[in-house]
Amino acid sequence: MAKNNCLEYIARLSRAVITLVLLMFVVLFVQIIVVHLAWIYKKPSLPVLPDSPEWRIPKAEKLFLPDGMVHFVNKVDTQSNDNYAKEEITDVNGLVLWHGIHKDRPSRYLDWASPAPNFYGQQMQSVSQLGPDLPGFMEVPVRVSEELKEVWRYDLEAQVFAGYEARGGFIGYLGADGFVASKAQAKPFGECIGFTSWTDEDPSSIVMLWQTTHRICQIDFRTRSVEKLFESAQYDIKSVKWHHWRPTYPRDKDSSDIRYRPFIDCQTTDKKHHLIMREPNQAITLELPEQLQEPNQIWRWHWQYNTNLDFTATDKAIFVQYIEKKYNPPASQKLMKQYQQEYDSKPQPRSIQLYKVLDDGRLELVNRFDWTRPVVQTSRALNPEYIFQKWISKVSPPVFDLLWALGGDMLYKFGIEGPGMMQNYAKIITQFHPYNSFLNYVLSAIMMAFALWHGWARRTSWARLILWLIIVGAFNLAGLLTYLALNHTPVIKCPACGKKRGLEMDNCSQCGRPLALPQRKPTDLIMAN
Amino acid sequence: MRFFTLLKKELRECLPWMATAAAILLLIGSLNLIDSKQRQIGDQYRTFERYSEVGGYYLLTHPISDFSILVFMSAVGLGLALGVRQFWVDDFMGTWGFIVHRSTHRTTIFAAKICAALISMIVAIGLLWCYLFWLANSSAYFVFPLPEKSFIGGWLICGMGLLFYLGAGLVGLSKTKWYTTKLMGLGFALWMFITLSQQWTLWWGFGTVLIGAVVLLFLMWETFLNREF
Amino acid sequence: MTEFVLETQGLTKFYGDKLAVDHIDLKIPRGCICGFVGRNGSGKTTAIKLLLGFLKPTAGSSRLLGCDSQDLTPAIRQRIGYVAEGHRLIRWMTIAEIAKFQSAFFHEQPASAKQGDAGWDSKFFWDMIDYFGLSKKQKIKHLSNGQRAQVSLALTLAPNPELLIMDDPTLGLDAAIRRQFLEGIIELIMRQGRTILFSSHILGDIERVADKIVVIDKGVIRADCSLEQFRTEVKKVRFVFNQSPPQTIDIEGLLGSRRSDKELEVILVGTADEKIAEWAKSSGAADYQTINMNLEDQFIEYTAPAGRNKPFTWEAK
Repeated sequence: MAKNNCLEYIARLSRAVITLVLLMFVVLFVQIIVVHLAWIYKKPSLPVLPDSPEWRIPKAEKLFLPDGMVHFVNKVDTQSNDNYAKEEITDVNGLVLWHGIHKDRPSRYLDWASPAPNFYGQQMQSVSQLGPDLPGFMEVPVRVSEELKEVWRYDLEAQVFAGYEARGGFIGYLGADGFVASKAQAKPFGECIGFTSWTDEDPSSIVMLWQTTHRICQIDFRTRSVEKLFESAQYDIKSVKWHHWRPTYPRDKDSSDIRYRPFIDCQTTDKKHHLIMREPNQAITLELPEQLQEPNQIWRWHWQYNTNLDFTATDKAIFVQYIEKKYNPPASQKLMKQYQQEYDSKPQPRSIQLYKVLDDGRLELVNRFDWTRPVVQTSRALNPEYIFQKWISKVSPPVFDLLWALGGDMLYKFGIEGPGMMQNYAKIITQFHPYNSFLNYVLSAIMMAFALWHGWARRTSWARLILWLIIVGAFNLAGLLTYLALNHTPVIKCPACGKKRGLEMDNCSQCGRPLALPQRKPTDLIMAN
Repeated sequence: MRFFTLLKKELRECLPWMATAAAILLLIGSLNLIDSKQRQIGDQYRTFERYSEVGGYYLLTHPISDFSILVFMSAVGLGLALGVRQFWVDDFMGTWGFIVHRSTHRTTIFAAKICAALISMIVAIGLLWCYLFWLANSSAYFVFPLPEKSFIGGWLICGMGLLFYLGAGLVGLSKTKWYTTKLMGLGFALWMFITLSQQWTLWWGFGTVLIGAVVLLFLMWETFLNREF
Repeated sequence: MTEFVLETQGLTKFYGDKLAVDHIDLKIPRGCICGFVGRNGSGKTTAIKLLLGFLKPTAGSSRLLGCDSQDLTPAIRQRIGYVAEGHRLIRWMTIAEIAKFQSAFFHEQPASAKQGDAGWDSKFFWDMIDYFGLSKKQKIKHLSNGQRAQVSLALTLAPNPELLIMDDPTLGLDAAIRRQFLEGIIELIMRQGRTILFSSHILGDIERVADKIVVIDKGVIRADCSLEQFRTEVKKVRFVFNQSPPQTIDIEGLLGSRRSDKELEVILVGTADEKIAEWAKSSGAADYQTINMNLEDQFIEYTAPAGRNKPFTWEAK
């Protein structure tokens, strides 16, 4: 009997937990559907900055000429394809220098390095997931005269490439130290953060720019060579940008073309920028002055796309462009929204600065332009999708708010780059937590009251009833649905007191009396045995 | 003796479903692999243009995804079929009274069902997976020998079939309404499937299948012991 | 002291909020053949399932062979034979296969075993199958209802159960097969110490074999007595009057009545003949007579819904 009771308790607990989790998913599914319907019904309008004169400079694209002069490009026609968009170029005094279509621009402006990896390590992990199509692989083919000659497969666990002849036969391994015959000799590249690959004149094989936490390597599969472009023993690589690194179709260059050098900017976590250039080969490490340091960011991908610093290298000089925004968000993502709203609500001083990198690593200011960004009237809060999400999250569990309070930043980070299912769960809590809303608490209280009313007649013990009320309160709609799913037992009218009573217990939960015996008729023929 | 009698009876009932799943898997799987063997080596790999940036997705391959998906569908199909056969059909046919009124514990009857399903899954899906994997590895189409992770991954797919069997069984045993907890078993199996699909290490994969199986088995056992027939 | 093989105490079962079985108190002694009768939906099958542990009671308890119904051990189940309503057997099996399946749960009787010894009596089983004219290679799904009933009976009787519980075993069977079925039961009765509880809608069958009757109506036991007692106590008496019969019928044990212009028919339970005569005299009846009823008539009258005084009549248009 004791064993059976134990079994029953464990089963009951499992059933409750599973039902709660599944119903949370059901509620979430409905929430997502509502938000998506809102998006379909009323697509959010992109924030449109006004056309007023005070916005002309803030809206304009600010471009530097190689001599340091700054021009402002305003798009006149936003409908057309980018190359055929009509635009107007003005100088710092507002004088119109040119107007026409983009592809006919008269001047060549400095072009800047962009993020390098186009395929991230996380995406590679997702390929090796254990789904119905089984783990996949990243395989690099090498051809000779259009015939497949060899294939190199990346081993995610060993962090090396293994090569096979197309017709059978093993070639060897490509690791951080280059080509070796055996796995024991192969040095792992390290955890892959991402890579970019391309072909050159010979399309039969590819070259890869391979980035790990501590290295940047260039791998040429045709020649089976690994060139270590950069290695940092102590600090992690934070971001990699490149410019004109991979070879492109040779074309006639006219005298107005800027001659860019193949260039890689690698930033490490000690905030230093390591510049790697070719033609000629050159490597410089820059330690930027504090005023040019970037604000805190809490997740890796943000660093790549929201930096204020841009780099490029021409045959004349190495340039750094700095856009000063005085934007210094808090480290905690929980405070981000409030900071953003405050930032938008006041005019903000801005400047764009162009520097040259000197041979000794110092920076020389070439030019600078200052302006003021007016108050931003459009707000994300007006986004219909956001409004719906805000309202629909009122039925989310208050427990999400507790988790957010305890570890919101970690949840935010996990939601971007967490492992496996943790990423999804973190995203759910991040996007649908109720933001300590009063309405959420009111709804929880109403649901608790309903559960109390429902469970009063059915109660088997006070402890159980209170536990369920806590669950309903903590999990809101999902909690109430779980409670009803597991506790909607039949009730009857107690023959003794006339009130509703459950049938789980022998005695009435209201008056304590057992079920009444049936009324005997005088014609009943019940004989004693 | 009683357990083996029950086991024999359950295996006999599972036999048509086993045979169907095995036949489908063997036939279509073999044809798929033989067909891929006839293709030119290198057809599965893209060619690239000169001076072009090559997106990482173009380098991704799933060499045996065609028939691994087939294995998955067979495993899940067989699992659902066995779950229905063992735990739903007796309800429709009204034979629970005959089966449960045995001079043996209900746990023995339950254990016989589970063992029969496990044997069926291993024979119909697991062993065939081994054969098809061997066939794929010896196929000239694949440049690389397929790694152990793929082989073990296939067994995890069979494990998913088992989870769906247990889920379907729990649904059949449950006497609650469909809008309460009746569908909980299949819902949980689906959750475990989604979780497994997000894992990329074998240990986590095993853990997912094991936890899912233990939880479902436990719930089924308790339900079967306390069920009203 | 009487040994009871079947006991219930306040056995109650609700399906949702509907009461199916209401505080059943039943005791069946060893060696008793008990007929369990009731109208459709009265709770017979529910009660039987509660006894066998297939359902959990809402309140109360029951014991079979001294063991709680909710915890029947394998050893106890081995001593109980059960024939379910509809004779549901495993359809894909042949008769030989199902016999082998059933026999695996009992020890085989040795050759020296006497009739009535516990254990699987293989000879008895195949003798019954031969008697019914069935072949061992026939699949259950190819048998008719009656043939399936025969196989079910053979499977249940072959292990020589001490207690046999049958839920409407002759449902849907023709008269000939019902007769064979009853003969099988009688065969079992002739073995010492066997107890049978069987429910049936065919009161004639009950009358043939039962020595105790239990009548259940809307989940409540209304009669639990010997068959003889039931037959004696439930009477139909017709009073003939010179004028209209009296409106008030204050006779002891009145269950129901029907009246016409000058006649009054009453159903009485447990009323002594002297009381009948006394009332006839006091009410001014010209004459009265006790009408013979068979068990079926008695059952129908005993379980008729209250207030139903007239038989159903067609009205000409």
